Amino acid sequence: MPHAVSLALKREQYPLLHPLLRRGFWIRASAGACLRDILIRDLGLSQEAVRDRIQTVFLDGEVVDDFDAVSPGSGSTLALSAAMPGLLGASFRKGGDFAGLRGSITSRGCSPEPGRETGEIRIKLYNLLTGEWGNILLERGIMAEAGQTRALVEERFPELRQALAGVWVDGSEIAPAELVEWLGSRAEGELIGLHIIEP
Amino acid sequence: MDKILRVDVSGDRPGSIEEPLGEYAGLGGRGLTSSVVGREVPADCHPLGPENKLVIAPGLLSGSAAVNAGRLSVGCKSPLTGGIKEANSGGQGANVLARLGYAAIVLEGERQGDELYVLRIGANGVSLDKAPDLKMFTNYQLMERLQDEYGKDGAMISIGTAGEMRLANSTVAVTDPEGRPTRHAGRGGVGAVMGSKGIKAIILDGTDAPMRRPQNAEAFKDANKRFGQGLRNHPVTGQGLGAYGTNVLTNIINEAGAYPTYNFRTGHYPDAERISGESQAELEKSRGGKTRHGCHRGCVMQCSGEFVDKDGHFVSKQPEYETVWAHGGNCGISDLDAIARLDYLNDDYGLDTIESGATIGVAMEAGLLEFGDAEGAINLLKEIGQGTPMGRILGSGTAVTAKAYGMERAPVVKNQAMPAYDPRAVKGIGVTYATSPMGADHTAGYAVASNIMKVGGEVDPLGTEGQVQLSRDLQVATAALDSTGFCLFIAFAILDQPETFQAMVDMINAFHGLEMTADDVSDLGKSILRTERDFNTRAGFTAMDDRLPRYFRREALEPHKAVFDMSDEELDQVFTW
Repeated sequence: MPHAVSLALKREQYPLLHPLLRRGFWIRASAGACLRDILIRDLGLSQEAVRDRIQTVFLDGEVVDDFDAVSPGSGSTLALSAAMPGLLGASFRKGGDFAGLRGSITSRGCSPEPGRETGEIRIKLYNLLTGEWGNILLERGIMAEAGQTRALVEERFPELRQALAGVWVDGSEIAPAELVEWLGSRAEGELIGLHIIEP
Repeated sequence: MDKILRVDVSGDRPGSIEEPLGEYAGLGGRGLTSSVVGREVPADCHPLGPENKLVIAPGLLSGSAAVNAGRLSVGCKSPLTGGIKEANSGGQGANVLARLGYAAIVLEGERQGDELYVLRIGANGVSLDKAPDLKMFTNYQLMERLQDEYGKDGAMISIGTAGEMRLANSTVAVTDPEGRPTRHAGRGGVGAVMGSKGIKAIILDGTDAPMRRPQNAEAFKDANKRFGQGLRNHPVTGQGLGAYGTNVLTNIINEAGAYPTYNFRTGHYPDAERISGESQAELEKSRGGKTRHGCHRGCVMQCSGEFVDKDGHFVSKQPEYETVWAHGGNCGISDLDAIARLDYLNDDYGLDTIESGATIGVAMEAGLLEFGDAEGAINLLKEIGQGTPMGRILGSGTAVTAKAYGMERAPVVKNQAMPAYDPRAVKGIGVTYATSPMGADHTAGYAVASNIMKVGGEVDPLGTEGQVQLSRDLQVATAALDSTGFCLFIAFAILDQPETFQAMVDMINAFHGLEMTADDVSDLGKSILRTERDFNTRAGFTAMDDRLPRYFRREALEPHKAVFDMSDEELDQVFTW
């Protein structure tokens, strides 16, 4: 079980941690399931949100057009975005008219194989989607790399120190300044459970 | 908007005359600039010689109540590419110039000595005044000196020190609603041509310049309302652009492995998130800067903003995606404050941020400074702006700089630096880079209306044939859109919402009393491209100029290990309609 870090923050201060969602967090998912199932079942998004709000998806750097035809494996990286501007933004959109422009970096997919064991998938949540779902995901809890979490806490420490109403590691309260130290004691890539509570 | 102002700088008594539009009637923006250059400029002339002309033209709907119709076209024979050029700018200039009744200003002739002039245009007339005291003024210094004249209802079109030195990387600046010179016709060295004519600034006095009236007021009002609503309702034009600006693309292009990094060495920048639109917006908000701002009045998308320092003082406009890439990932610089400072210096000296960033990337690869050296990059831009010997080499552009350092790896087409999308990862855009008459230009094939216009019929979008076809359709649609004065970003709403495309056509028709169809729009785009390619052919361009540099075929781009593999035969099919 990963160590559990809980941070008490006022809701308006949650965005201080949003960069973590863009740099990548991890969820436990049914490796082998199709992308749509992972987004709905494991990430907790609604069918409508997956259909309407997620317009651009990269699976390990390749553009995904059909959410039912690709199957992220354990260790995969999924990047999720709203509709993007620019010719390339349009060409990256799922099933867009300009898919031909990026033909060589389109995911050809791999057949879903339901029933395989669970694994960890890395999610990057970009632009409007961070604003729309970031707070909910942080309240539900995510898994984050200790190194990335430490880097962000260090970058934002002046604001976080003011904002944090409490910090707990595995249920024991520590001072905000000790959080950086504790995170620094972990291996860079070690996954920790991170969740936010409103004081 | 039924007259052309011709300013002849020749002889002892330079002056200006007004002419009716004549054979140019019905044209605006790029359609007009390219027609004048195509007909009146000898294709074999030197770009800085007396035979070249600088044409400044608002779009067909500029100066009216149409939303997002404030784009200004600046055309000439390019000192950077040697071919025809249309560079395009936002700002207040197009709307004010159109309200004053001018379809174009044409700067022509041969100035005597090194005289500098300020051209003043208002409802009460035109004057051309010597301005020796403005020598080597930067754009912001010009603003300080002249803002009282153009005020909040007018605009200034100017060149900084780069244009005055006639550097091949030099812009024509246009002021924004606050009167700042933050908008630029950036590409191709158009500022050098203005400098060669000795025109330091054009002051447009908007006093008593009425808004242009449509021929069919009711139909125009209705179409404009539908059009504006379409832009507001669309997730890109109504939400994404306003929230994060164009820099929202950084994370996504980087995720795709198409983000040119370290002078196009790789397609992924590890620190991209630190300079992304999301990070930029958070920083601006935390410092009290503006994350929404229109570059001209009448913009509903508000994709611009204001970048302020930690004390809340203005540093520059919110740097665009292309700027953040050129000076950021391409140079390994991940400090948004440094990038904003570089943006300001580009605006102040009058330099194209894409060309500047690509040039510094080449200089970094040449060993002149290290990748990631932000202070070094700032100092190099200062050298350009001040005209030191090194600065003059760098200010001559990416290709010249690479040549000066004996390097093959200059990411250019027709000597113009490639923008922020690697053509090996996204080959379709490589087709446009290669074949556009303008040189490597991301906006040349930008307008995404081909699904509606069906310029070239149905094709398989995943085949190489599809990429050629798409590039052709997009270049045709863009050439037409560049003539209207509409911002290219309207393209996204047009792509997804056929009713918004129809509203745009209805606006043009209601304003001018026309009955244009989508086919007519397509024909206009084709006609412009034919004119431009004909000019380039007469200037000596051949199919060999419609190519990417060889190393894009040889060096595989990480992480996709992709090379540009479109054949020459395929590239040569782009304009065979």
